[in-house]
Amino acid sequence: MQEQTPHILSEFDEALQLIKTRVINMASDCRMHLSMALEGLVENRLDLCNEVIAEDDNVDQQELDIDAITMEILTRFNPVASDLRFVISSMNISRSLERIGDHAVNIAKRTRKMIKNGATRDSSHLNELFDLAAEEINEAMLAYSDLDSERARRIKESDQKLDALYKKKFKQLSAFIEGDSEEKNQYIQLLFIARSLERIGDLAVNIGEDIVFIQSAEDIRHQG
Amino acid sequence: MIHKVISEENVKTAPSAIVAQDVDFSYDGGKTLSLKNISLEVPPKKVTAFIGPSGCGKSTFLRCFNRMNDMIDGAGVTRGSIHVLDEEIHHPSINVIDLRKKVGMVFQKSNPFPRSISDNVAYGLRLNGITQKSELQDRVEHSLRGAALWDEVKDRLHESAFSLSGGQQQRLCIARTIAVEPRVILMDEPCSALDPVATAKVENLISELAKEYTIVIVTHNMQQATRVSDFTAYFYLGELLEHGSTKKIFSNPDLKQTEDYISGRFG
Ligand SMILES: Nc1ncnc2c1ncn2[C@@H]1O[C@H](COP(=O)(O)OP(=O)(O)OP(=O)(O)O)[C@@H](O)[C@H]1O
Ligand SMILES: [Mg+2]
Repeated sequence: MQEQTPHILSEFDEALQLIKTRVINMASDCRMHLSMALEGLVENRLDLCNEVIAEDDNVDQQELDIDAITMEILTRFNPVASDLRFVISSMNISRSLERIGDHAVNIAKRTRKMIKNGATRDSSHLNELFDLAAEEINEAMLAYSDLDSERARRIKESDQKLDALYKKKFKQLSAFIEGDSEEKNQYIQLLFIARSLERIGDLAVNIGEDIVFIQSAEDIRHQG
Repeated sequence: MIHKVISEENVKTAPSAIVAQDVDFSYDGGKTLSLKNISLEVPPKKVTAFIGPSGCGKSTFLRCFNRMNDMIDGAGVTRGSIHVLDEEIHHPSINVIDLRKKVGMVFQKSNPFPRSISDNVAYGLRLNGITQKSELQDRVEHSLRGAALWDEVKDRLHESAFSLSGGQQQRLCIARTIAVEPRVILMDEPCSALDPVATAKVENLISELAKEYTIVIVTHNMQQATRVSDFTAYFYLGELLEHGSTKKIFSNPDLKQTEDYISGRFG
């Protein structure tokens, strides 16, 4: 989009830029919520968990705003070709971001439960999973902001690492649950959190697919 | 190179209705070219839209197909060939009157004659030697029905054509064109003087007509091109830059120039 010739209607360019800014802001918020939820887990901080949960309405509102801007662009400017793909894909991306935000909330809620039942333990099991998931979101944000389809394609490869690690962690954490230890409940919560991180990776992959579609009109969903 | 188009859904294509090959056109006896090296095939019983900025040669090219440009002094095709229904239309054996019967034309501004509604349609039929009253009546009704106008005018066939609204007049002109049973209908911005409702009616009609006729339409309205046409050709400064299925042109054109034009960017 950057190297594009400007539209004759400058308002059209402004509207497209507005969508982009809103999506990037929403992505930053979701990314931050994920960090806050993890910090809540590692540092036993209820306040951070509560903030992530409270802020979710704001994320939902951002999605609604992006929908409204999209509707207005579609009706006012009748976008075609790459403009149309950009607008529709941006809306799709905001859907994925909203779900990433929901996962951050899930993580915060589970952490809160763990803290209330005594301190969280063994959260280090999730550090690496968290890093991979967060990195995928970072890459998705950069790829969207530069509309860089090569970068966007690579998210899928990174996600395979995350998936493999998740499988490994799933086995490890499940082993702790099998016995009837006191800590059983903690591990169940950690398992669910791991599952959320794995899902966040999938959503980052979806965002990458949307970016590839904007740039090349190529639908790479459901390929391999 | 011929921009051969194969309809995505209909690969076993019938022979093209119009085949233009390497066409140059000049309004001044060859000093300057208004069309340069244009090759294009128009598939039968489909709608092909010509789009492009003002002055790029859409109307000029359209008028080549029934030799309407012949009326202008010094104007003509200076190179290449144009076949309509397998006949090279510049061949000496071609009768221009017959050609224009086969290749009808609808203009931007509806141009009914100052006669009754029914006479407007019957006019061309009379020229073609049909004089029997009952046959004329039947064909008038048939054409008005074909132009989706019958129900609106059946009780006032003898009123002046000028008593009709702009949209009705345009459909009357379409009825007049189809009365002589052409094979190809050329339309040069047929809706540009119509309001949205009248435009919708004419667009509907175009889709109906495409079941029987080959249609080539010039339009400045990109939405209209996407709504009514199967194929789109993008012209720029007398050249055909890109030609393909309308779906492809409006979703993912090959050329940046095409994309800039259809999405309203500075060229
Ligand atoms: N009768 C004429 N005599 C001389 N030059 C002409 C004539 N008609 C058109 N031209 C020139 O030929 C070129 C193509 O004109 P044409 O009318 O085919 O363009 P167009 O694509 O139909 O434009 P528009 O969208 O404005 O109708 C223009 O440069 C125009 O000035
Ligand atoms: Mg014209």
